[in-house]
Amino acid sequence: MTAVGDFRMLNLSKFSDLDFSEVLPAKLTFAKAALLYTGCKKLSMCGGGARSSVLRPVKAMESSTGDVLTKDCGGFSGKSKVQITTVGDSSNIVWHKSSVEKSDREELLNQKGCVIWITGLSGSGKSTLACALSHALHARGKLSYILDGDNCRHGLNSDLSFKADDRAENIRRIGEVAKLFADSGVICIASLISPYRKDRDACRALLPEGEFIEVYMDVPLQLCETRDPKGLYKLARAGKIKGFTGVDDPYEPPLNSEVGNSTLLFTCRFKIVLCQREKMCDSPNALAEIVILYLERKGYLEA
Amino acid sequence: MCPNRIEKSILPDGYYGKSTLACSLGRQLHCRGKLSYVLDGDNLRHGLNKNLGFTPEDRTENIRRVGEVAKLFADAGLICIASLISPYRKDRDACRALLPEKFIEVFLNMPLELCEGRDPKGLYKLARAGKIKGFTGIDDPYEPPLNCESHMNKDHAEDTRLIVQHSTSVPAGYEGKSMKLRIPFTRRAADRKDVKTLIVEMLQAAKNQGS
Repeated sequence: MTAVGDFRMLNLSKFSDLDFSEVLPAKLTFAKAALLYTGCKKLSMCGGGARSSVLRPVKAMESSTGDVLTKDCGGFSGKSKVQITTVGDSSNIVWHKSSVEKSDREELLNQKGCVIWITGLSGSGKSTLACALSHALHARGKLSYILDGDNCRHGLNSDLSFKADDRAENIRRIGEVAKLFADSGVICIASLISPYRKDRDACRALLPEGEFIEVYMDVPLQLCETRDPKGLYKLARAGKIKGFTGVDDPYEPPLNSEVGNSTLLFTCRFKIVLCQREKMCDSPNALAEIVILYLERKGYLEA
Repeated sequence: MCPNRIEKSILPDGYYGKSTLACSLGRQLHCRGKLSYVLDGDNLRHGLNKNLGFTPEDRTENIRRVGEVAKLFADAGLICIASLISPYRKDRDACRALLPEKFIEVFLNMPLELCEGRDPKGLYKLARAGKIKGFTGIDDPYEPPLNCESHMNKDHAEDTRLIVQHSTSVPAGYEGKSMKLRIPFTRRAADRKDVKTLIVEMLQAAKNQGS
């Protein structure tokens, strides 16, 4: 047992069969994270960390002749039987199979495409964690991309408001785009309040099990309001913004999550809860390393 | 991470369409170790765009969304291959405006008769029978691009043959056999419009040599 500061570390030998289904009482800083890794015989982490293998170029195939166009690409000959379906409002559409599969792209990138969905109140540190996580992944030679709720509302979702229906559509669209990114082999980091449980669960249902990892920023409303990085709580309290999450619109935390009094971390069925309390806040980089630890342990950082 | 330049390919007539070309392009990029991703119009209508129909407004929204997603993919560093009918010029131009330096439009200029003759999904037949309304080419217009980077056209077969003969040692007349050749430009293209000028120059050079 190693005592570090005021917190008790679990016996390092336990980490050899680390399942992440137990509560780890820790205030994790880099030093402690490094200890964890040592116990696991993994790469030790530090800011800007070790650079893992960069993209391996796929060995070029021999130059192919023209028949590749018709034979290998699922191209349609006149008599092929194609399945015409109707999905939603889209009628007479046909699913076109690609010849490059997700596994091929994952091999190229040496990682597994997945979605990391960061949810929490405004001011809980979602965007900051997303950035830190993206940097940390990049330092390890992994390709990630951030889908920030606010940023998407400047582009793809610029036609949506904050009414309940539009919130649901906002989340649905981002979920679908995240799914496309995951399919392309990229580690997609979605960072948005996403306050309603059923919307988050609907996004989870879009992907196969194991490809949707929910990260809940469990930060008390008071602390978020104290931070108020965009001045929105102040406007909401003054009544200038209606339906603001936490003030006059609910936030539904993920189920199967426990709230403790200290900084707790635990994971359960692809859900990570990062608790932050007044007296004990980990830095974004430290929180990012927690997520990376999870990803590494579960095999997302290799093909 | 991935280059943004375009390579001019001259392909012989073949039975390929947008999705097939996208697929082939993706595969060839993958063979070169480049990460790409295909956004197929039909595939997206199974997911992101499943709440859109085929009215003009919905088509516009469909293309807008695909354009925005393609922009995100390009920003992520991937080569994004979007393959969709996208019949209205203003919608395509709107997408181009999202990423001015990184938008490459490839126009598959196949005559309607040829497409209808193929009818790989049986949709033209349904449209002619009146079972599909507002089908592009039948009762909804297709607006071809005014200037684009690649132009593959059956009408240019003779010109293509001349350029190939002039630039390579491939003998004239390759009927009955499909080949894929990459013909380099004689000089670097200054901009999009210059691409067409270059092709004309190469054709002129081929004709001059022949005469």
